[in-house]
Amino acid sequence: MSRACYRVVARILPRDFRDAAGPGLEDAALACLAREREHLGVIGIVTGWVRIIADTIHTSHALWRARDEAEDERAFVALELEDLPNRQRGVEALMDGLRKDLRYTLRSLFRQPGFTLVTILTLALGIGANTAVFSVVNGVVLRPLGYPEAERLMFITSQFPSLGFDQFWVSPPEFIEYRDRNQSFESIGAYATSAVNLGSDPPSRPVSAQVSPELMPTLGVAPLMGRGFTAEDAIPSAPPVAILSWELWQRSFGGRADILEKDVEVNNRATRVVGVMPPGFDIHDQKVEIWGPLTIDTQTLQNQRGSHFLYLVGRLKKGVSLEQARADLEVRLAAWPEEVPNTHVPRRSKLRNNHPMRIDPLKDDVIGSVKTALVVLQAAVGFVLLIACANLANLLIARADSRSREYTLRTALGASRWRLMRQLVTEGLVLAVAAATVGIGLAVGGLRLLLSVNPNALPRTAEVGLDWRVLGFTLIMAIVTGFVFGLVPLMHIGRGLSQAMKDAGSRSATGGAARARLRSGLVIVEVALAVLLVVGAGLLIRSFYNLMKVDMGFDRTSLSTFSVVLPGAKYPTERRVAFYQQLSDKLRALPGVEGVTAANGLPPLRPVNANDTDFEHIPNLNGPPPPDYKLPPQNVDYWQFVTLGYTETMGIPVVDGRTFQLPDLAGAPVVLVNQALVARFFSDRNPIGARLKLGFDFGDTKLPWMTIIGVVKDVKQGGIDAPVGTELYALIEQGARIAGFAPGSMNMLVRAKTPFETLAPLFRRSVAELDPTLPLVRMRTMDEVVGDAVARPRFLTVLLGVFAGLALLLAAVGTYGILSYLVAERRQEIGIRMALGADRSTILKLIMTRGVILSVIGLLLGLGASLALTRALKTMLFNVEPFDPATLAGVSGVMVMVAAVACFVPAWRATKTDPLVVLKND
Amino acid sequence: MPATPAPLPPHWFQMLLALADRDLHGLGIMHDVLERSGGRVRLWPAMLYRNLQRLERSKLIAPVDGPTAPSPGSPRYYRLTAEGRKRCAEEAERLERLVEVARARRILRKPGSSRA
Repeated sequence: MSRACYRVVARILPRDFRDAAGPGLEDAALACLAREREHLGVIGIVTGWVRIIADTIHTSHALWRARDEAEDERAFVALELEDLPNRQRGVEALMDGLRKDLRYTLRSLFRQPGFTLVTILTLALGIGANTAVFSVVNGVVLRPLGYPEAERLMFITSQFPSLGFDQFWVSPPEFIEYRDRNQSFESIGAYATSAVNLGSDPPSRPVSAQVSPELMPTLGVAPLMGRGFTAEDAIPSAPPVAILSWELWQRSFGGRADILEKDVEVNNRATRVVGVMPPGFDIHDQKVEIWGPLTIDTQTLQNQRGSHFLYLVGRLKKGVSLEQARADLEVRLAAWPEEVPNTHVPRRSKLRNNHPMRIDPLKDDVIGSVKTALVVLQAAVGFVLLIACANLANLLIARADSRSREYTLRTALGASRWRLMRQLVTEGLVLAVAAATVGIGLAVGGLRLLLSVNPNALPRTAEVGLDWRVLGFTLIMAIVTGFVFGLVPLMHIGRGLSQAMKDAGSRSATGGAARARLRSGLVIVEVALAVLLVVGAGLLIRSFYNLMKVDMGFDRTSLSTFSVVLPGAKYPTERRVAFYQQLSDKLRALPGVEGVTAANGLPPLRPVNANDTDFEHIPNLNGPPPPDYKLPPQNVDYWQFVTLGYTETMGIPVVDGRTFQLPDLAGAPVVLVNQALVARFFSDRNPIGARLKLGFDFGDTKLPWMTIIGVVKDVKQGGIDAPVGTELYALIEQGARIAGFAPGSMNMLVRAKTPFETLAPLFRRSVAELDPTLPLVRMRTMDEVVGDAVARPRFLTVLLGVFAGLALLLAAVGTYGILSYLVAERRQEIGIRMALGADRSTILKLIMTRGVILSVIGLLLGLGASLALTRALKTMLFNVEPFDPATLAGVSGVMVMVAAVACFVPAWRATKTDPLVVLKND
Repeated sequence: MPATPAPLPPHWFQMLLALADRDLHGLGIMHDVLERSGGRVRLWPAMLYRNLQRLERSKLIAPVDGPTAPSPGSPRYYRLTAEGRKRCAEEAERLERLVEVARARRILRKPGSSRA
């Protein structure tokens, strides 16, 4: 093992050296390693290898140098002379030539370890960052979904334009009618996701999906073992069955093969496991771990028109395009009202009951808006690489200058332009490939870090990784970089070559003006690109700042939360209410607790309810509304069930009327409403005392009217960046009377001075004391809840910020580099000026002006480009315009400052020039 | 005044000393130097072999057949050449003269004991 490792390390040494040393070299190395381990133990393994490697590199360097000192000029003379007879002898000669180029390149890079190291590291950073971002782009955007022929899978949703719902669920009758009558799909399956209490030890709460028997065949995935769901499983009276995900099977059941036909406890019901899905199977990136049959009661189908809770996935028939499917859907929408005698069917109409459906590729829906963001990131990181390249090109030009003697000599010996070009490109490629190798390592590490820090910021993160496409991308990037790199100095050599030959050896060997223009151009481009990135990052940072400044409507400091879910089988409505009250009492008794409450929806990001709500003062329509109908549709976005003390514990101010009080628990049904609801439904009247109720009278249930007793401040429920929806608050204690049920899932909210770490185990104990089978889920502070809600914008802001910082740094280094070079080149002039009496400030001004002019040109170009390009950021911005004058001004200020610092150091050094020394040397 | 030979690099001197009374291969030289110096002078493999090559090129040592029949897997043995022995002795004398000076000036007290 060690011998094999050392054999690899020893490759650094020249071959002839290794051959001469023979096997004794390896023996000696092993003896050294053994001794080190004996003396220092485990640490010795590390120090031993470090010293062995140091010894190898040191010796190898010494060997090369010793050889170079003697053979330097002879080496490339020999290179050309050897090559002479080989010219024009086809592929073999070319390969031989390449091998020689490679050897010569490696040697010349070894001779300048500083240059080589800086170049490789800079490039590796650029290539690594590009590889990391590209592997995200690849996994999330480019790679097809993990189903067979996934491009034929479509996501089918409904719409309620009058309520502002662009992609809404589909109701069971709509699903069945569309499934049976459409012409475009091979099959359509329906699903609804939630989560279940799984009776394992400790109790867990995996994400679950209720799926129609068609869903898995539609996706084209069969269970790994066991069977899929059948039509019999989907009958409401059928015995409960479940299919496990591979991951859950492994984690909770140890991957036991005898799990099939065994019963597991799901929501306190014995449920038979009939199958296990293959690893990684999921729907819509929901991380579903347990699958159950979707039971639809076909007897009461027509009564379920108002309950939209299904998403549909369809597989297009072979040869049917998305456009054809959409056209077919329009035909359906037109025929639907005639085939089904009901006012609530999908249709496209100019009236209020407009309720069309839409078809989108499943992949587009899974990825959503993140595509733009990732494209922006990829562009940003590409710019960083360009800036790095510009810097390194500058470095290479400087190096080419110092090597002009060598080039001249080789040209004189008969090396063609092509020969020199090949040599330079080989150098560029060797550097770039070395950098790409290191860069891939950086990318792997960076990616892991990125995803572990921000697991929720992106969809499909499980599919992000290095594959052949990413590696191909990196390779192509490296090759292009290598070519660009190698050829930039050649551009300049090509021009300067004949000149160089004329006065080979003299200091002003090459045409200075052209070279200076090229280098200045590179700096301008660098600065412009950096400005572009910094503007982009500035906009995102401002936008994120605005997001964090948004008044969420409640006070989240020292507030923590967890949720419990009471399975219906064990907890009917009356027991639920009792449970929440007992739990609240227990929590209230914990140390430092100031208030306890519960709510079924957790701000600032919760699913919408969109419950039909009958307002007493708005006349109900039977049939289509008149053309000039202006009243809003009677529907409320959020029905928030809470316990007594909600507004007080959450710190939500009551704007008008009063909040819930103790007598309300047993009293007449009452609700609180938010300001958005008042603005929508009570623009012309006082809401206090007005009445409303859940839904329109359906079936036999007659729900009671509820009286509005107060108006509270708006709370963000649909996301921090979204406008506030209409919301009403009802007491769960009244739930049985006003809605026929109390929610089985509640978020407990506790305000306490005690730190969360102390509270968390106490929360667990409190719940376990009441019912040890109940899992606690999503236990965290409200600060974390809000943090999760902004995970994606934060992810983008941080990444773009890092890239912009990197760009700024590189541009500063580039500016610094060119000015240092300028100073070195004009030493003589500066010396003469100083000898003639110019004072320091004159010299300072002379150099600074040059640098600042370059930076300002770059800045202006960058600002211009950003005006054109930041529009791409528009969808990612919040309360900031792409042309935000404050950001542009701020960025300009930062750039000028950075440029000033980068210019000042070389300029100041120029003032230290001793005219005597300079003049004597010339 | 006879030209004083240039001092030998200390690790060369150590390596030559190791070969003074017997033929050794690289690993043997390494161990000998290590033991004599009480673990203070360590020759790392690449450095050791580079210096062996330089010593050989300077004709101070020469490769010889080892005690066993040479095979592809067996290490090479080295022997001190006459020139090597001479240089080694010169270096020892040079050092001895220095030690005498040190004694004369009472840096060292009696022969053989140092103030380590």
